[in-house]
Parts: sequence; C-alpha cells; structure tokens
Amino acid sequence: MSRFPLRIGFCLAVAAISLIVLGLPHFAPVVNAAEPQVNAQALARAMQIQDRHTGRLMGIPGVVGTATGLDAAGQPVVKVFLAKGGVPGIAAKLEGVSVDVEVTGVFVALRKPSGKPSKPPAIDPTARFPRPVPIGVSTGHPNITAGTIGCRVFDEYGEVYALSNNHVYADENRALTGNVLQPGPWDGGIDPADAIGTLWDFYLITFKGPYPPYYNNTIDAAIAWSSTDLLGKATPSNGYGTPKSSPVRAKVRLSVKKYGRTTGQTQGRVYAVNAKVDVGYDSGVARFVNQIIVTPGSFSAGGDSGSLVVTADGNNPVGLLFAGSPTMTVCNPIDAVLEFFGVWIDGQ
Amino acid sequence: MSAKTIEAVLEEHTDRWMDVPGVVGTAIGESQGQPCIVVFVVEKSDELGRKIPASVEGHPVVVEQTGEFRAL
Repeated sequence: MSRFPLRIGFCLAVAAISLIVLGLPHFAPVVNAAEPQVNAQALARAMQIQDRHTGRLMGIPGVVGTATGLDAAGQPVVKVFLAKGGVPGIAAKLEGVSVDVEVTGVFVALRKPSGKPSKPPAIDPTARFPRPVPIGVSTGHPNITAGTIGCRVFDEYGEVYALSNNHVYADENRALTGNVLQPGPWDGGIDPADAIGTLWDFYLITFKGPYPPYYNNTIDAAIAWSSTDLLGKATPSNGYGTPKSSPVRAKVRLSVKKYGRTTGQTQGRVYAVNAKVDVGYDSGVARFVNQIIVTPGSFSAGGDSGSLVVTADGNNPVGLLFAGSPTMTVCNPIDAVLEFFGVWIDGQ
Repeated sequence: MSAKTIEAVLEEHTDRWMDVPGVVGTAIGESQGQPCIVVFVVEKSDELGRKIPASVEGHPVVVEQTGEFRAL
C-alpha cells in the first residue's frame, strides 16, 4: 500500500473535519440555542493531542487517517480512520481524550474529469455475454422479466448449476421446467437461442394465507443445470472477480458487496441479522425468517435479485440477494441455500 | 440486562408485533455498540409508537422505517 494516498486522505480528513468543527462555536448560538456548546479550548487541546499522536497512529498498519471531531454529546474526540476493521493497538483514550475509531476504507484522490472525455469500458450487465457467461449479469426464465446470476455451484457428481432466486428461475413456483436465459427476457433474451441451462430445482415458497399462523420460509432460491462451456465463475472485469468457496456467517456491521444486473457492483453493510420479514411478490406476501438485512437502499434495485453477496475484503459468500425496500436489502444466508440444494460454490 | 438471550426475547415477541398493521419485519441489530431488537415499519406513526415498546426485558427496541419489502 502506498503512503501517498494515505497522507492525502489524512490531510483532507483533517481539513474537512476541522472546518466543520471550527465553524460550530461561531454559528451554534445564532442558529440554535439548543445545540450543544462546544468548548473551543477543549477542542484546541484535543487537536494538539491528535497532532502529538498522529505520527505514531499512522504508523500502525491499517490506520489511514486521524482527525479531531465531536461525539454525540458534543465532547471533542480524536478520530482514527481505518482501512478496515479489527486493527489492534489503538488506545481508547489519549491523554484523557476519547478515541473514536471509524472504518472509512482507504481514501483515494477523486480524479477530476479531464477535458477530453475518455470512454469508460462499456460493460453492461444487462447485455448478452459471450459464452461462458460471467456471474452477476442478467438472467431469467422465459416467463419472468430479469434477475441476476448469483454464482456457479457444483454438486457431488461434479455437475455445475447457475444459482439465482426462485422468482427469477421458477417464476414464484409457477415454472416447473424450462430453460433459463442470458440475458433475461426483459433484456432481450430469446428462448432457446440464449439458454444457458435448464431449471433443475427450487425452494417452494409458501405464501401467507388469510389467517395466522403464517409459514416461515427460509430461502428464495433456484438452480439451473448448466455447463462450464456456458457458465463461468467470475464477474465481468469491472467487478470483484471470482468469489471464494467458503461462506462466512453475516454479522452486524460486516462490510459486503455484490455484483448485479441493475446496479452493478455496490458496497454496503450488514444492518441486522436474524430478521423475520414479510416480502411482497406478484403472487402475494411471503414471510421469511433468519434473513440478513443490508443497508443502504442503493445497495440494490429491481433486477439485482439473485446476486451473490460477498464480504467486501475477502470475497467470501455471505448471502443470496432477493428482496428490498427503499432503504434496505434482504438476503438469504448463503449456507442455508447451499445446504438445501446440496451444492458448493465454484469459487477460489 | 435480562437472563434470556436477545434472540429468545425476539422470538417470543416477534409474531405479535408483526401482526400490527404497518410492521413488516423484526431483526437483531446494533444500537450504540449494543445488540438491540429492530422493528421494521412501513411508516413511523404515533400508534405504532404506542404498540412497540422502547425496550423488552432489558433489551432496547429500535423502530426503523423501511417502507414495504418487495422481491427485486
């Protein structure tokens, strides 16, 4: 890792937060008397303390910046920015001032567009891809619109399958057989010319009846029998590549990413686990248990269904994306999916 | 803090909360570094505020406005 961008990040962070913080004492009494008063002396002292310890802190691998900020109660704190979580050796207090550790990722310079616009590599996950097709791109049963190929999985016989959702490959239990296409019908996929496999197995979703008790579904998943000639195991080149084979269990605050048909590669964070949610489908509402909730809302959109969700720093599979609200995305825990079909992820 | 795990407490109460119109989910999240129960609602309202307590058996409950969940 080069030190240069880290220093830029550090300077930018200090400058930005100093501006915000230094602005506060002047504006607070005018704008809103209820705002917590900031003690300028305490703030200046925190900055001195920050300056004294910054050199040492930035020497710790994984620390990408420091700053002085305020906590929720308006007390000055020294902020330490980390490339990723789990960096040891950072004290909770420095000379009596609290230390607030924040995972920001690595700071990078935001390049200004140059005068002559250079065409970005045009990779469109909704397009038809040469065979074998990548994962993370448009797919679907002929009866649906479009979803996403989650990944390639294989069984004990060495057969390979495309993994996606029931509502992408089995049309909410209604398609018992048929081809699956790349791209999906909405994106121009034609049956059978664009087939990459045939529906093999799916988890039967039980929709809510008029009265409780309501059935607790665990996954929205389906697999289509394919071949290594038709289906690859990596995302297009602007994505994270090949997922790891070994899944990890979701934990609150875990950083995750996915590559999907509509929003491409996006990053988010596990907001909650062990979720029970009611999800709307064309056929009705279905209740799911033991789900993973990812934020922010921009993590996914319609058509990203079926995307594999992996850890941001290790590409380890975490979940199978299938639903969302304006602010949240819902994923099945991937181990429940793999166990149901008796398959493993064809990864690294 | 209650003797029961937060998962057990959630399991005990979740179906009753999910029967409240406007509640679309429950989960285990984190609030101020501590595990908490999260209740997902289509839209926050005074009535929902009355029916969902601020804490249950010592575990904090956070109401989160999410809108409806849809298959994507």
